[in-house]
Amino acid sequence: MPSTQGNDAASDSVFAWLACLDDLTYYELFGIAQGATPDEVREAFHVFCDVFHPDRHLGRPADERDAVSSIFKRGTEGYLVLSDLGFRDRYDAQLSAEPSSRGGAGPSSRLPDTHGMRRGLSNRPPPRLEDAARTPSARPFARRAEELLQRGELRQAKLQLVMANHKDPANGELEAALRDLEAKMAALAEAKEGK
Amino acid sequence: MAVVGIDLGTTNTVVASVQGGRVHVLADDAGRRLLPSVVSFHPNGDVLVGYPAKERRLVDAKNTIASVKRLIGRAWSSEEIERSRKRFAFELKEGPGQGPLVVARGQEYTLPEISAFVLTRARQIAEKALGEAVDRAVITVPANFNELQRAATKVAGRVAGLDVLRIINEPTAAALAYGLGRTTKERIAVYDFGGGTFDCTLLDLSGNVFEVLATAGDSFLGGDDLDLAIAERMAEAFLRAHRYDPRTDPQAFERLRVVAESMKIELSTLERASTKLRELGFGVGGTHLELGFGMARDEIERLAAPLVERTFAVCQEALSVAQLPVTAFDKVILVGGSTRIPLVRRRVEQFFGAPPLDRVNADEVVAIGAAIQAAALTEVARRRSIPPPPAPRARRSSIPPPERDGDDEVTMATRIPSRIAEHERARTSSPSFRPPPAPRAANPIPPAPPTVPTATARLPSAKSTLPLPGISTVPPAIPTSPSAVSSSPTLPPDDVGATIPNPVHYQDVVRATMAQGPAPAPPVLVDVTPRALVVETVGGWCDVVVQRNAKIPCERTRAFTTSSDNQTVVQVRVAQGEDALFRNNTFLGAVELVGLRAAPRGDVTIRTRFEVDESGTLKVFATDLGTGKEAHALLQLVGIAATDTVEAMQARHAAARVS
Repeated sequence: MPSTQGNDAASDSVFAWLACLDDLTYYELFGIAQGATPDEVREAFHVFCDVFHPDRHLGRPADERDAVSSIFKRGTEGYLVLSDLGFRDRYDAQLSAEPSSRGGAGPSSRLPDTHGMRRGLSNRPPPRLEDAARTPSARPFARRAEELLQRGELRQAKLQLVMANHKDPANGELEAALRDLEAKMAALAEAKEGK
Repeated sequence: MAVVGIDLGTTNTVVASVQGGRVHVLADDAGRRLLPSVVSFHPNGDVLVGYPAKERRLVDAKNTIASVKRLIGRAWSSEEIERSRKRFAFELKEGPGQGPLVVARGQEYTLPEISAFVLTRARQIAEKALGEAVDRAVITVPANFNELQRAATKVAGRVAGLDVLRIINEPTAAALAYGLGRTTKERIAVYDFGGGTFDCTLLDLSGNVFEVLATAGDSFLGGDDLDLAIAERMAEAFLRAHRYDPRTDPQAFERLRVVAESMKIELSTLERASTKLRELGFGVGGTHLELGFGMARDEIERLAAPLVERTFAVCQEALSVAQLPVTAFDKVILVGGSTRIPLVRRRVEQFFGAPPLDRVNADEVVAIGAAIQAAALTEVARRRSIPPPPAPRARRSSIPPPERDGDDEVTMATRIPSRIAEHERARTSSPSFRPPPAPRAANPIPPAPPTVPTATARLPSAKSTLPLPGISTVPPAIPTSPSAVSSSPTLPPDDVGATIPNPVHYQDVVRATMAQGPAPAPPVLVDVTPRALVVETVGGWCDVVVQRNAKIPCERTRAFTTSSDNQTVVQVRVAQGEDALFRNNTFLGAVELVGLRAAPRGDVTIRTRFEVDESGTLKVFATDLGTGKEAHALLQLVGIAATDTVEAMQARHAAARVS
């Protein structure tokens, strides 16, 4: 299908890229060290875009355009992972655990999925508690708990969280949220006593 | 054949084209560069567009259609349509497939058809100005337009006989027009306050790359709202003076809005403006009622303040999505007529802490950017050369190659060692094709069978409207790598960057050439999806497949399982939005897969692949992994006309006399 014979020089590196795409780590794809700073990641991504954005290759035959598009999509995926601290930590862990497998989760999704993203966050605004709830019945409680937390009504929030945990047992995130809240309330109570 | 960039605005449309390396905003015979996005159906059968139509608005509001952009691509049941029906004098009715129809002079028109009249007029203006036929265009839309709105805009272009090369976001186009970032790295904010919509887009620019960091918008916030507020004020004054409320007569109120708009514009330069309101109603004995109405700058600012504050809530939202403080932005570009309001400028400067840029006419900047992009996309034989890939550090993994046709050819590609010097020379001269390098581990990729994914969620069955209770989205597990066989020791993570075997990475090659000065290539836009793309799961919840603000083009694949025993039909329902409840998001359409293997629930796995192309156009494919045979289905967007309907529209459109 690829109409390579149409090009005088057979083809440039497009298909070579495509062939080894699955073997490149995101770091290799962007040519950066594993410890690269966010700015370095961003810069490398821009260089990547300059080379691989499909708009840069509109003059190519369809099969080459498809190939470029695949490479570029891998890049956007890589950038998403590397520019998100939670994703990146897990990706790094995965890399060191299984050095020969790259990319991520396999055919269903090469990306850590979005639920995981919320869980893996560190330096980000807190994820919505509602999204942590896995059962429909727990969600309203989680949502109300969060609203109450924002308003500072800790005691009411705790009740809601207890309910959420009840409706969605053994949910690590909800349990953690409840523990955090209890710790916070205890600290507040202590501070009050201290005064 | 020429290409143009068209800013199809809520209130005004502007058309521009690159000619001989310069951008020209194209004007009509009277030298006017703004084309009011108003369409009026004249009793004699003519379709008037632009200023003549705007005049008709005063005498024939019922058959004069304005602000159609607020409605395009929206479902009949949406809040926006509801609000507009109260607000506009023209008649709207429900059409097939939830698409609203405009009724004028006994004819029904779909919204894309109305927009197409504006586009046709813009095309006529361009053809006259350029002296050649115009067949292709880049059309801009607000950054927060969803899939349906983009698709409807594209249909409008096609009905107008234009090949729509690309739909691009208005703020991104504005940034292109400023040509910023060509030599420096900078972060800019685009504050786009138009007639009908407000958008805030944050961009990161370096060299030739325009990366959209985040975008947020309010599609019901614009200068029109201020006109309306002023008109209300006038109506109240009139009511007090004459005990007659002009709001009871849509035609009279329409006139008030026109007066209000000109007063608003005057107050951007004057401290005080006054006008005489006439012909709004009749008093005792049929005398015309009149009222002198004056307004001071501070009064209009009081009216505008709440609207302006709403824009900063949107800016804040964009900033939090980008996870950057407002101080991270070096510049702010003003786009849209409403940014001429002094209060807006003051507040923008306060908020961003930087003087706003307004070098390029705020009304024309978007069309100019669109023209630049149109020229870039039609540059012949564009093919940037690709340097050879770096050799992977370790062995081949067992990850199967991404699904695509022509995989066999990929592995068959000849591998000849490359020489960097040769490569460098080739790069600096003309685009050419170098042989690919020899990867260190040159085994062909084994085509692996599709493995059943670990992360699954259950889809509601299309048959049973009541999904089984208690079954919810299975929380997707942290992705695990497919069983990769590897016995060789690994390098410590710190060494990873240093051990890329290829002596020169393409990044270094490109950077070296970049350092020599900005490349002559036009900038490349890396845009984002404005809203998350989600799939409905049991219980009416959402599973996010493509998250908000994902860089495009992109591709995501998710696997789902059936939710009831012996389910043979599955409907993958797709919506756009961030709400956890499916019904609160904008429903886009559904992909239906039939003939699934009858099996216990959870046994059949359906893989859905979401592809978003450079235009932000979504394609959804569903594949049944359960039967072993592949079944594909394509997403049909709701309310978007099928090809044959578009052809019918084209025929009717071509028959209309547009002037």
